[in-house]
Order: sequence, then C-alpha cells, then structure tokens
Amino acid sequence: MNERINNIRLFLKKYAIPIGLLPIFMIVGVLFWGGLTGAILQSLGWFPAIGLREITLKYYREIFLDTDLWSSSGYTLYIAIIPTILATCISILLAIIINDLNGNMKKISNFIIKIPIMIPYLVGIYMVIVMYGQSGWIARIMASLGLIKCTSQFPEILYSNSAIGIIMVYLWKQVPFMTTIIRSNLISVGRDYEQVAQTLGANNSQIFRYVTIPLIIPGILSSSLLVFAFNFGSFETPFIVGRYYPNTLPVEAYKLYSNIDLCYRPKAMAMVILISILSTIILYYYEKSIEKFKYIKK
Amino acid sequence: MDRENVNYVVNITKKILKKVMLFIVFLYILSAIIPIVVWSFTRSWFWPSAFPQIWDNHAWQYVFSNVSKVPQAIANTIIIALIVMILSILISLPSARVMGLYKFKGKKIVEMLLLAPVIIPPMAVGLGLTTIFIKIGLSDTMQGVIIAHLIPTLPYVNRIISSTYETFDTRYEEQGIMLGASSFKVFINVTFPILLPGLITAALFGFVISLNEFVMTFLIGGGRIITLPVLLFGFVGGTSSFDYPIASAMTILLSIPGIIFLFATERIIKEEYFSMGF
Amino acid sequence: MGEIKITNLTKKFGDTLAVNNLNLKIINKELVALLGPSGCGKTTTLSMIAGLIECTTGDIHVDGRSILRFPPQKRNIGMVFQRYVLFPHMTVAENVGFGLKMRKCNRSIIQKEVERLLKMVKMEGMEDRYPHELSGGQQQRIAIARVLIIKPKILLMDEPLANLDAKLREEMRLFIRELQKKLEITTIFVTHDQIEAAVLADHIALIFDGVLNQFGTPQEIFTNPCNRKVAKFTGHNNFIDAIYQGENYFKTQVGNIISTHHANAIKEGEKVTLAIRPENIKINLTKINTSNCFIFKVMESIFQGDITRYRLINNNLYLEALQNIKEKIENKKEIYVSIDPDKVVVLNK
Repeated sequence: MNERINNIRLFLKKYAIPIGLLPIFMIVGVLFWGGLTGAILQSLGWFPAIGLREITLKYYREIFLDTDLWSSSGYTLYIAIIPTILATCISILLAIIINDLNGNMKKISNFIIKIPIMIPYLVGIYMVIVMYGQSGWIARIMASLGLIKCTSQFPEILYSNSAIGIIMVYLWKQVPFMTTIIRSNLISVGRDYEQVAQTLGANNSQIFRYVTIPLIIPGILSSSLLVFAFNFGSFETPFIVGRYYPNTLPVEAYKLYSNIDLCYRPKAMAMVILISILSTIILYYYEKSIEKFKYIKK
Repeated sequence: MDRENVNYVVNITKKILKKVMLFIVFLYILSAIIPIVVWSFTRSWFWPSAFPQIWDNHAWQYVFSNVSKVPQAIANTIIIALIVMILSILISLPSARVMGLYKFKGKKIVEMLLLAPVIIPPMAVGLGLTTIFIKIGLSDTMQGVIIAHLIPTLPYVNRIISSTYETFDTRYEEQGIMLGASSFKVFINVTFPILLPGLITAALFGFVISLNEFVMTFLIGGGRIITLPVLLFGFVGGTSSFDYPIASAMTILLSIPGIIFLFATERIIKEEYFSMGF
Repeated sequence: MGEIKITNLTKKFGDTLAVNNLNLKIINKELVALLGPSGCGKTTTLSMIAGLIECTTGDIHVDGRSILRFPPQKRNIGMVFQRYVLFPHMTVAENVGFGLKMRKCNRSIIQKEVERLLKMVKMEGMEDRYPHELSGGQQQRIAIARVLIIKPKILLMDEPLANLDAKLREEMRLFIRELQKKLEITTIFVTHDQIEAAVLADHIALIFDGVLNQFGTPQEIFTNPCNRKVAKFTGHNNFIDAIYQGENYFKTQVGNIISTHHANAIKEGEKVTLAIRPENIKINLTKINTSNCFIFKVMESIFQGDITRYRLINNNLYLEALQNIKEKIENKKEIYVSIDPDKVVVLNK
C-alpha cells in the first residue's frame, strides 16, 4: 500500500510541471482556443445548423472588399491608440505626483484613484452620458445660466467621429488603472536611486529622465499594453457611445451576429477572427519592442 | 539673490500646478456622482433647469421591488463573482507554482498562450464559445456563465500568483517537511500564509473582473442569466431616451460592491502588490 | 580643501531624537570614522551632510561656508551607499560616467575619465557589464568609482563593507585606505565594526544614541575610553567599582588596585569605575611578585582556537581574561591574577 502511494508521489514529482499546468490549460486551452476554433470554422463557412458545409474564404473576401469595414478598422485603431497614449502620459505624471504627497493627502488620493478600477465600464459610460451628453448635467447647468438655449447647442461629444465620448470613458477607467500600477512600481523601486543621482549632481528633470522613468518603464509598458489590447477589442463602450456607423469592429461583428438572418453569422465570425489576428500581430510587435526594456530587477 | 527668487517662484508654480492637476483628476473621477445621485431621486427633470423640478424616490422603490430584476441581479452577480474568484485561484495555484518556480523548455510559449485571453477580444472568444455552449447545453446557464468568466479572469489571477511564487523561497517548505509535516500540512501552515498577500490581490482581481464582466455574461447567458452589468446595459444601451432615474439607481447599486471591496482590502493589500505581474 | 565643521547638529523624527547636538570638526584630507552600534544616528548624520535630509537644528560648514542652503546636487559631496545602489538599467560605464553626464561633459571626456576611474578601482574592461552581473566586491568598487569621478570635495561612505564577507572586507579596507590617502579626499566613514574603524581612520567619532561620546585617534579611543559606554564598546569587559585612596591606590572589593593610567584630578574618597581589558588580566599558575596580584578562582574556561577565555571570581567580583596558556586549568582551581597598573583605566562613576 505504502509503495503504491510512494509511486504516485514519485509520478507526481516527475511530471509536476505538466500536471500543475493541466487545470489551467483545460480551461484556457479547451474553452478559449475551443471557442476560437469554433469561430474559425464558422468563418470558413462550416455552419451545419443552416446547412453550410462548404469550406470557403468568401466571407473573408467580402470583408476585405467592404470599405465600410476598412473605415471601421481605422476607427477601432484610433480609439485603441489615442486613449492609450493619453492615459500613459497622464498616469506617469499622476503616479509621481501622488508618490510625492504626504500623509492624509496621500491616503485620500490613493483611495480616490482606485475607485474607477472597481467600477464596471457600464457605470463609467453612464457617467459620461449623464455629465457630458447633450442633455447632460453640464449642458443643463449651462442652459440654466443662459449660456446655451437648446440641447443641440452643446457640443456633440458622444456618438461623434472624434470618439471623444469613448476616449473620456476609457480615460476615466484606465488612468486610475495605470496610475495604480505605475505607482506601485515606483514604490517598489524606492527612493534610493533618486538620492544617489542627487548626490552625483543630477537636477530634478535629469533624475526624472535618466533614473525614474527608465526604472518604471516595465510597469508603464506592460500596463499600456494591457490597456491597448483592451481598447482594441472592447464592446460596451463603442456600442453605447460610439458613432452610429461604421462603429468599431467588435461592435459591427456583434451586429452581424445578432442579425435575425443567420446567414450573416459566418461573416461575423470572420470579422471576429480578423480582429483576433490583428490584435495578435499588433501586440506581438509591441511586445517585441519592449523586450529590450526588461532589465532584470534586483 | 535673483536666481534664488526665480527658483523659488518656479518651485511654487510647480507645486500649484501639481495640486491643480490632482484636483482636476479627482473632479473628473468623482463629479459625475452628483448628477447620478440626483437623478436617482428624480420624478421629473426637464430641460433646461440645473436641478430636478420634482423629486421622489420612485426609482429606488422600483429597483428594490420584485418587479425589477435588480435583487436577483445583485445576487447573481455576487454569487458568480465569488465562485469565479475561488475557482480561478484554485485552478491557478498549481499552474502559478509551476510558472513561478520552474524553468522549462517552452515556458515562453506557455506564457503567451496563457495571456492570450487578454489580447484577443472577449467578443471574439465569446461569439465562438456561444455556439459551442449552445451545442453542449451550457448556454443560458449559471454554470456556463461561470466557466465563461474564467477566461478573462485566469490570466490575471495566474500572473499575480506566479509573481508571488517567483519571490517565494522553497526552502521554507523543505524546512516544514524536514520537521515532519505532511505535504498538505506544509501547504496550509507554511506556503499559504506566505503567499497570502499575493493571493488576496489575485482574489481581488478575480472578483472585480467577474463583477464587472459584461460581454461574456451577455453572450453566454443569453439574456437569461441576469447580472447587474447586463441589467444596466438594458437600461443604458438603448437609444438616447432612456430612463435616467432607474438607470441612475441601478448604476449606484452596481458601484457598491466594488467600493465595499475597495474598503475591505485597502487595509490588507499593500501598495506594492498592485504591480505584481506587471 | 575639505574641512568640515558640524555645529550642534540635531535631527528629530517626530518625537525621536536621532542625532543629538553633534559637534564635530574634521580637518582636510583626513578619514574620520563614525563608529557606533546600529541605529545610533550615524547614517542620519551622513544623510544630513549630503543634503538628503534636512537638519532640525544646527549647522554644517565646509571650508568656512554653511552648506545647508544648498541642495544635494550643488554640494559636491560624494556618497557611497551601503547597498551601492548601482543603476540597474545602466552599464558599468554608464553608471560610472553618470555624474559627468549630468554635468553635460563631452562624451569623449566622459569615456576617458571612465576608463581612468575603472583602472583606479581595478575594474578595467568591465565597461559593458551590468550591475547584476557583478559580485558584491565588484559592485562596491564601481560604486566608489562612480562617486570619485566627480572629484568631490568630501567623500561619505555608509557602511560600505558591511555586505562583504570577511576576507573581501579586509582587502577592501586596505584598498579604500590606499585610495583615500592617494587622492587626499576628506572622508567620513560610517561603520559599526571597531576593527574597521581602527584600521582606516585618522580619527574616530564614537556615537551612541545620536550623541558623540568620544572623539580621538584610534589609539586614544581604545586605550583611553572616556566613559563606561565607550569602554564597553571597545572591549574593556571588566568593570570594578573602586574608591580612590590617593597615590594611585584604588580600594575595591578584592583589595587595593594600583592604576597609573588615570587623568589628573581625582579627589580622595571619590567613587570611580576601573575598566580593564580581558587581554590585560594576566593569569599565573604560581605566585609572582608584582603589584596588583590577587588570588582568583577559575569558574570556567572556553577554548577559542588560538586563545582561551577564562571567567574568574573573587569575593563576588567576576573577571574575564583572555590568554594563551598551554595547560588546561580545571574549574575551581585557584590562580594568581596580575594586572599591569598602566592598563587599568579609571572612569568616572
């Protein structure tokens, strides 16, 4: 009996690595990649439920020929890149400012900055609508002060081509997220390097440029990567406050999917697969370019 | 003397600018609370006044009544989030241990594979998954939604815990074993307490991600499984003339679990831990 | 130049007094060790000199001018931190050249200087390594090079050898001593290791709990401690209460002890403490005819490799002796203790 247990133990030890990875691969492997495979198959025309059994690339061809979808891709990229850049810059500044605060101000700031992280995007979307929409609170205040007369006089921030509404929602959620990560990076790096730089004669802007930023780049880059990836594929925000047509790729894909006519499904799947491929390519190159910034920490 | 004065002025200006920036950011984060709270107590609020003409709490009454699906949604949301949190930690413990402690061939590829759900949009996975779940009967069920929630959650939870393992010294465990404890006891009494801060951070992430998850619930749950995000979407996702008072009340409700979690873990998680895995 | 004068320097953290009214004068080109147990304010003092912390009260003058109003960048004071704190994201060359780069020096000048400094610390050829690739001793030398390149007026070193193993520490001690003498930089060196202080310093400032207890050459500190704390710290482990009888005689519980090693003005009848190093308690197996000879019983003997530590007792007075005696002495055996009168230090009660 004991020998059996021992054998099991040895077996477990020997194959510790694959055994340990088993549960997570079951979920991620089976579910995730399984889901994707299902989508790939459908995108290639395999949709037995409505009788399509022929593998074809025609749905992909349709997409490439659809100029509206090219516009949608551009729009998607735009709302992925701009908020990421803005959020990164603002978050770096904020992280440093908050880190330099003292006592109570610091505690309060810490708390407030974390609030949007815990609150779903839908709430953030709603907040932007309620505040900055054409019949939002700011507009109403301005009207009651006599500055504007009717709703259309208030600038159309949401649903616009410039996607300001989307950007505002993303900033509301993502600046806190990135600030928290960058700031905790700052804390774990510590103040010693800055002090050393001071004794060696560096002034504040030199310290910022040559010491502080390089040391927190890992945090900056990986959090901006996450943010970019999220923005690219996000659904709720563009769906609610994006422009009417063509909206972002995930939204357009969903519209096709939920069309009563099931014939549009394969095209929706094709769109979704293309989105995935695009994401992966962009992120692969992004990841590559930040490889060289990953120094081994102490 | 002049130089000193200039420096002094520059420093003060910088200080003021910093405070101003903080103020603007906090204003931006918090200001929308006011109209939302106001709206939740509104009967009628016509343009162009700055405040409602008629106040009442019909929205709140509706929200807490059995007619609205809110109580059920709250329950569903929290139950799902808790189960997802626990499951994701249980699943991640062995894999995070492997990723944090061992080096092996193909580790980089495994890392990429495990991070894939972060990179590939939920809409993409969700649509594909829905079809499969319909076939195996998991769509429109709690179980299905819970499993689907694992997809966005696991990469984060796994990453955070594996970061914790990276700084973990296995010699503690060896010491425990040499002192006669069984592997299980060693885990409970030695490993687990040391990992605890990282585990709590991971649990927090797991809970919050599931709490706020919309797309997966929407697609897999098919409208049958109602969580707060799904419910809110119904009220907000329509066209511009939606019901502000009720939407506001629901928004407030939807924000509460997150805030409570924030308070609760504020004490426990040190600032440094948020950068774990990043 | 590089003469430092510290006046009434005090630092309070909340209610805790980390540095208490420190007064110190360090002349040009000398190496002064701030010696004391951990946590007694030495590092805080250094940080104040460097300008990284503000003083609560007091002043610091360098070459006659107060440096308090200058930020660290402008003080031209180099500091080597205990954990070296080399920039992990920069190569050795970039680390060493950092100070010059901040002063906007020409790139080729920087390169030349870096080469020169690396040669000085015997790390030629390591320009392209990264700090995490270096051993502790190597990192330390780079930290020193990084500081010396800006030709500081004053060099501060915060327990730089604390993280090295014993052998390396000895090597580095001599290395630092030679370097300092060659470059003639005024240096303040913080350490808790007495031997280090004795080897390196021209003068030692003994600091306990933020207060300067004694300032003097290593000789003075180790043979002439000025109070009980200093005596204990420097290894005078034996303390005997005594009353001065006059004419170098001190009455103790074991009899009269003669001391020729005391300051002038002690009055008769004054209560004092005698402090004696274990090395100076001589053990003789047979009676000898010298002053300060007493019979003691051996309580225990601990063999330490090259020397034996003895605990002795007489009339409730315990003494500790260190001596190299071939034969083992059993416990309870009576032996004859003799103490050189010149090695009995007299301290105020």
